[in-house]
Amino acid sequence: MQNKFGLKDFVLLVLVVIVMVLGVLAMRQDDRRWEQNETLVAKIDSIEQQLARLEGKLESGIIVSNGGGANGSSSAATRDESWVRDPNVEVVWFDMPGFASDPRDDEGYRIGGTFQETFEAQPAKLTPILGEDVYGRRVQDQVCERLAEFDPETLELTGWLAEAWQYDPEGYWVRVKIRDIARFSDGQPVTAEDVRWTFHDYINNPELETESLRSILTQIEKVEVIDDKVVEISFNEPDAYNLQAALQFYILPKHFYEKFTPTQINQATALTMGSGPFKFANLNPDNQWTPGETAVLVRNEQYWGPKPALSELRFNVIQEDVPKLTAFTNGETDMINPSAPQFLEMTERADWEDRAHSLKWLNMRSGYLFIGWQCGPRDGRLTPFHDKRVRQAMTLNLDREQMIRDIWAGLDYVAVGPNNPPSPAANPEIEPWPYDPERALELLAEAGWEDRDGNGILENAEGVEFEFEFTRASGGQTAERMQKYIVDRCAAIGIRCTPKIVDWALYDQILKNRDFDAITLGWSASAPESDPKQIWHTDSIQNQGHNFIQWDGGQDQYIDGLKAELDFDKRMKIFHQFHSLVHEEQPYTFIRVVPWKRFISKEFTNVHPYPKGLEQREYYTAPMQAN
Amino acid sequence: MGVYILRRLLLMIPTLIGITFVVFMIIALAPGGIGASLRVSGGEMEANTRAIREAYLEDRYGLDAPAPVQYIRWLGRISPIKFGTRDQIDPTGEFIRSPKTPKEPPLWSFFVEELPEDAQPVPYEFDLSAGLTDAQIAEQKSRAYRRQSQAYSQARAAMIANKALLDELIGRIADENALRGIRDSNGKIRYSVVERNKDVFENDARWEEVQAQGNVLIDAYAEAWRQWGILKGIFDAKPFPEAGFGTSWVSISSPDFGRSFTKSRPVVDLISDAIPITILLNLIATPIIYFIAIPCGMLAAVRAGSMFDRLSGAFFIALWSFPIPLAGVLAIGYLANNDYLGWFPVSGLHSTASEGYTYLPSVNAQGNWEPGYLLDLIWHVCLPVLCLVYGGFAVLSKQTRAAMLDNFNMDYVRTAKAKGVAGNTIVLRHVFRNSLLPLITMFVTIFPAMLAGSVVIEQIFTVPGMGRLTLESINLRDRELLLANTLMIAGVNLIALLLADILYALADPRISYK
Repeated sequence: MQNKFGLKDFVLLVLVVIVMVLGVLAMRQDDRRWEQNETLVAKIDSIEQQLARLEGKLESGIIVSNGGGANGSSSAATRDESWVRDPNVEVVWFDMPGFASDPRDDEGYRIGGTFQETFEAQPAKLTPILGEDVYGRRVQDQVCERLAEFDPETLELTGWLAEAWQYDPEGYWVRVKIRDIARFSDGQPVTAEDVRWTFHDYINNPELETESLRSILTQIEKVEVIDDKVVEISFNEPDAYNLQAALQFYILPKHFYEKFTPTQINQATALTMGSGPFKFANLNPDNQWTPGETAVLVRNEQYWGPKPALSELRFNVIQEDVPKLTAFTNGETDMINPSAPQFLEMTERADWEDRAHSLKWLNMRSGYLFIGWQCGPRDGRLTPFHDKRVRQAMTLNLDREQMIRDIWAGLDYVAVGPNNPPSPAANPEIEPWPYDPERALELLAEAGWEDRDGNGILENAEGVEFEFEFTRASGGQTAERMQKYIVDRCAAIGIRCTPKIVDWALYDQILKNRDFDAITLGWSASAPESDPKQIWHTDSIQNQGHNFIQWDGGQDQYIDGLKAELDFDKRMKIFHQFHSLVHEEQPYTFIRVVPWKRFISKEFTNVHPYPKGLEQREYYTAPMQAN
Repeated sequence: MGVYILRRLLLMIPTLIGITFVVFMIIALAPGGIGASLRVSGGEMEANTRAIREAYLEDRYGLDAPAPVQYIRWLGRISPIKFGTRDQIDPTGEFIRSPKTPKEPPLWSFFVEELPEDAQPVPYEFDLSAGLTDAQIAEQKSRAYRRQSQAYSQARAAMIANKALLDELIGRIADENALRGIRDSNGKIRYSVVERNKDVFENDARWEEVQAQGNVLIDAYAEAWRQWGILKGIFDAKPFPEAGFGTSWVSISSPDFGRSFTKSRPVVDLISDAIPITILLNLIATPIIYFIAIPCGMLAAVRAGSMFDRLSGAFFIALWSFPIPLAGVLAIGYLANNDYLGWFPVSGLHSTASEGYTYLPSVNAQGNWEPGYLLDLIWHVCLPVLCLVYGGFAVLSKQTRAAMLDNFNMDYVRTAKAKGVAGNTIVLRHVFRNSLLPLITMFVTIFPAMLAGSVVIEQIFTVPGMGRLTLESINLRDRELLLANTLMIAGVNLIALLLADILYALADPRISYK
């Protein structure tokens, strides 16, 4: 006990530790400076490149395109149609893409600013086509572009990277001319070879994890390079949805992705490069964005199209509702997706108008919620719902407006059919079924369901009481409230409804085995018109298809007709007829369409909700009015 | 002691296997089973193509094997001692395994007398011209392997797609003929049932279609074998350096934790992304708990029964019983909301401006003070740390207090007092030292919890740490991620328990493990 550890030793030890910590910190400080230097050097490199190209252009005397004005397109007289396959077939030309609402002439328009968007869930990866969740796609949409995009307002398929195309009237091929000025964010032009490579060697490379897109694009037989800027896509068989599929995958730069092995691409989290208005500043596979970090996109200074005003887009994740809203009111984020109660509460505040754009609108991605009635046999026995009158009565008996008001805070719209209202495929003449329990009882009586023994429960002629099982997935307060409401309404007209609550994993099995009387589910949409075959065709009754309600009400003629009809207007007419049939037959009781809700900071101007969604490339920062 | 530690370490291996096996089987037996998240696609419209996609994914990740087989395969991959053909490591660090053989097509006896023979590896020699540098040789070898690997994948994919088409056809015919029990609970065709009811299919009008599809499948199978033979030949010619060391029968190499199939990233990467964050939070939180709780506990013991003792006890217990989710939401609502106090940021680990900061606080070009990257980070973790900390005081301070009080009543304290040792010296040198024993144990049990992370806090503050990763792996039924997380947490727990036992022996001479 002689070598005592005294106070002096302790002080010395502490001093040594402090010096060591300071040393480590100084090293970190230096590393960081170094990293920042590196990014600066890279930025200067890219600017130099751009300058060199501009100089070259000036020297060769080419008129520099103004980069995206409505007048930037070549006039009809100069259009070269030597590339077409069949001179007798019409060629569709598209103007230079612009903004849906052009901000550039606004007073106060200025370049710069950072826009921070907050997601509710973590995208697993942002690499194009491999990262397939909604959020990943939102980031990719800013970086990668397709041959054609839906027009934000009219939802028509419009050439984007494609300047023109010629579509076989028989529907076997489409020949596409790529814009001469289109180029990737590293300045390399977008070529026909990039399109071919993307389809054959990226999407259809079995070593890449692109299964989900690969299995959808089976109707494309091949993509051929005709010349540097012309590509031809051929189909296995004509189908109304071919054109949309062929022009709606991202075009990726071959020269960039070829540098990596399939494993490197598979494991990459953000190896994302394209021709879009924004780009990832960092494309080093060893040091990419990882889930959990804020994803940062910077403006693509070499963008060929209408250049955005914002210089940076950021995407972070906040899962819980309260922190999400607090972050927004604090100004830590510029765009959130508020919950329905939050939307109501905040928009009622007096000063909210000055702080945020509160958007609530239906767009092409809005899905709908429904109750599906078992129209076919369950376990070999028919349910009461095989009778169309019973299904109509069930719909009449539910006050969907009240449900929306009481269960979902009144922000949603009553759904009327399989296509959501902004889509041209929805029949605008159809009104939702009214709430009318009297009429429901009449219809039930017509179908043979009456209270014959006076016990308050309906019976049929054989004396079997009307009862059914209502299946829903577990979790969620609103789902529980909805179930209670339905049980109540059924009891009110003498039907016994037993709720059955199951886990999601089991749900899938129940659907596949058709083991339910009534089930609730939602469908989401991703395009203005989608092929109803998967959900509605009688073919999908067999073999575990998605027509799990086993409805067979003469819908096939319309669905087959839709696929065969290449003319847009005629197709929409068939869609409307199909919609009328679904409305009359009520295999589903359509409950609600869910609008998108967004709060966007008032710091940004030119914010418009479109049927296609939001267009961040149009936003610019304006000095706040208040404060 | 050494023998004891060795025995404990060896015992850990079966324990770990037991733990991971039980956890794995529980998840595998839950509805949907492993990989359920790949199958559940509520709200997704494309149904027919789904079967093919599912088949692809199952083939890629081996999800179609029975759960115990999947577990044993995983065990084989992570075991440092490996049997059979050695893996190779490509320049990007990926393990290249000997190629999987094609799977026997189902119902083949319906279509052919006997299956085409299994192909043998085609001996391969790299065609290398003289005068190449090593890097060029490696590049050429790797290119030859990759080209064939893609060709084999293509053949295998064709086989899978054709099998899915055959399944669909058979499913349809069975449905039309009301054949019961044709599918298992995941909706897969039960081939044994099909074989038993062969007559149903033979009498169906579409039997010829089935035959045709079956023949296409058999052809695809033969082609897959052919491509496998070539690929195997190239693999045997060793295009890449071999992993680890050993012979071609037994070798030792680093364990391969595989790839998470829901996030398709290596598990090691996912964990190494998450763990520093969790450790950071806990490295800040744990010392705070200790530095506040232990002095308070000591003071409460010294002045047992006083106002301080009672108040601090009640206060800590009150904190301890306050639910964390509520505390988190309140902290965000008041401490972080600019409408109230707004002292702290709401979420994330860095603010937007922090990228331009230097690491340490500094004065920038405009002459303004900048907090720097480090301070910014600390500022961001304040609220999560607060929530981690407040519940921890009670247990630790009560433990300290109880242990100290026990010692105060000991004879040696009375003796020390009697011989006139100063009060402070008694408390600090004698009593406190002897009360350290339970505190050491507590620290050791806190350590694994530090790595496992806190699910609730990470969820509320959107901190991408271990707790969230583990929760996700359970929700998504992600085999690799789940098993690796379980293994890690179980392993750390076992090591911590061993450490506790060793520390006991060191701190208390009465305990020995002879």
